[in-house]
Amino acid sequence: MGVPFEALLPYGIIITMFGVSGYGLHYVKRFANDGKKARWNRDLWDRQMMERDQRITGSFRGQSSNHQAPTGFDVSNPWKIESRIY
Amino acid sequence: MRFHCTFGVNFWTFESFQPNTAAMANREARFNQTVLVDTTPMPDHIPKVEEIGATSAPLLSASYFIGDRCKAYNDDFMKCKDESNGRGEFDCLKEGRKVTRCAASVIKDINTHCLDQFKAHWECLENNNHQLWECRRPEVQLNSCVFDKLGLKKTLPGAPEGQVPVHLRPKQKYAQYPGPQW
Amino acid sequence: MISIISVIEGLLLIVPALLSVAFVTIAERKTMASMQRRLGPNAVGYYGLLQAFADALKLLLKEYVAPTQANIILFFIGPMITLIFSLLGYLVVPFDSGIFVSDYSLGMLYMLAVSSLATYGSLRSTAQLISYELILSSVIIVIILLTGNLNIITIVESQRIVDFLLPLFPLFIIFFIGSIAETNRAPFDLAEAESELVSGFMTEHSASVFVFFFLAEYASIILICVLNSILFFGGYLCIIPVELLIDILYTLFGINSSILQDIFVNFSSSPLNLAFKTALLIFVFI
Repeated sequence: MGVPFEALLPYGIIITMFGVSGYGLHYVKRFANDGKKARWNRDLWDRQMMERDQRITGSFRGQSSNHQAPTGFDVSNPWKIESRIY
Repeated sequence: MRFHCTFGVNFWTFESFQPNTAAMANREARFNQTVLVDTTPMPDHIPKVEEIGATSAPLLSASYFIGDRCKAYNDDFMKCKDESNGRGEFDCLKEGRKVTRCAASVIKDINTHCLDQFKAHWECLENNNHQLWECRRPEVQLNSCVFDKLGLKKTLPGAPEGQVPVHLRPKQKYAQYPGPQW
Repeated sequence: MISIISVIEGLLLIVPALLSVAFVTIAERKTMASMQRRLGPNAVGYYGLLQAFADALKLLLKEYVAPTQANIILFFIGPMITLIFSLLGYLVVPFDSGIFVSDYSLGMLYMLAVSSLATYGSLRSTAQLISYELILSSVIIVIILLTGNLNIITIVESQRIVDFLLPLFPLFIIFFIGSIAETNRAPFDLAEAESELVSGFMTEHSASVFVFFFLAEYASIILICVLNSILFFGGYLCIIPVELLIDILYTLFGINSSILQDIFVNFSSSPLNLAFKTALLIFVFI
């Protein structure tokens, strides 16, 4: 006889729910990342470079291929402050 | 289906450089909570240099060409930092300026000669988490353009001898499209 | 702006998660009914689909009973903690390579910590914990050794060549049995003192606290199914191996166009793949 279709309906709804959150997050992430795919598995280097991107273009995902930095870039570098250990 | 038992082992080390960490001036990692932006410009007796304005994706895309043209300057700078015992920020300013100028010249040349291919490649990289194996098709076009116009060639440092380097293999196993790329 | 986006992301994750938890309960009852040649709940809504909501409403309207000697605050907060922690586990579930709420570089450890916090009941689950949780974490360690990374998306991405199900099939069986025990499902639902206990917490709690507990139970079932499909079935990756399809198209028909490439890039991963694999595993769980 097999599983009647009535028992499979809730599974269909579960799949739809996963689809709702997956595709919803897809659009929200695209919106939050200037229409690009979100970065994943970022390490310290990637985060540091994204901060640098933000200093150059004004947004974490903005990109530019100029060979000259905008004015003021050379003095906007943040120093990381650590507590002193003697 | 063929099975390639190379899970993860060399997944991330395909194109990574192996820095000589023992010789580099190491310092302990420490947490930091706050940052300080000091807007005081450099003192006048230090010569000015134009900073590079390329962001992460274009820099990654151009990195092998920068490495090809500027290898001598970069090695010089790293050697200076190694030998200055943690005072590299002060002692290696001259070498650092050379590194910056050389990299800026490469990016300027690529921008003037191969702008379309360059843009295609770094936009692909930016959209795919900066993973080089996702963007082999634009990369091949960029490499051939740069080689024709500027004479710079992408080589992987430390790649095993007698094998086709990863960036020249038509199939990219971990890419979203694992079949022949071009 | 960023905080609004995070709130929307959280809602997009939590609301469908809770709804699917509600439908897992009805799925369980319907599947068990069809196994036993019954109809199962079929009165509320179409084919009894809204039975879970009717049950929840009924339980919310009931009077709550607390044992006289119990610490009331802990007694009521316990199920809430369980629910919150089993929902926290959804935070690191990747729906596609760029689609996640939060992407920790130590995501697997986070998942492990949260899923063990979401089990409830002191003595019984401690007995479960030492016997099965260890096995779960050892299997996860094998997978971490294979991928070389604790990041969940990286673990999924490294299954692009072949799902870990094939090379690690014995480990999958171990992990699956361990996860059934972890969620207190059928053969493992009464761990200790089976003759004295009816169903433990089921008799102690009532009304809305019981609803929380019930939700937490089923939320952790879905979570452990998602974990199974991430670790062994390739998560959001395509169910059919894409490379095989491309090889067939390329060697037999010689097709290799950029349009096809774009189609396969879109085809190779989708949230629906994860959903389908998880639904299949929930079915097997029941």
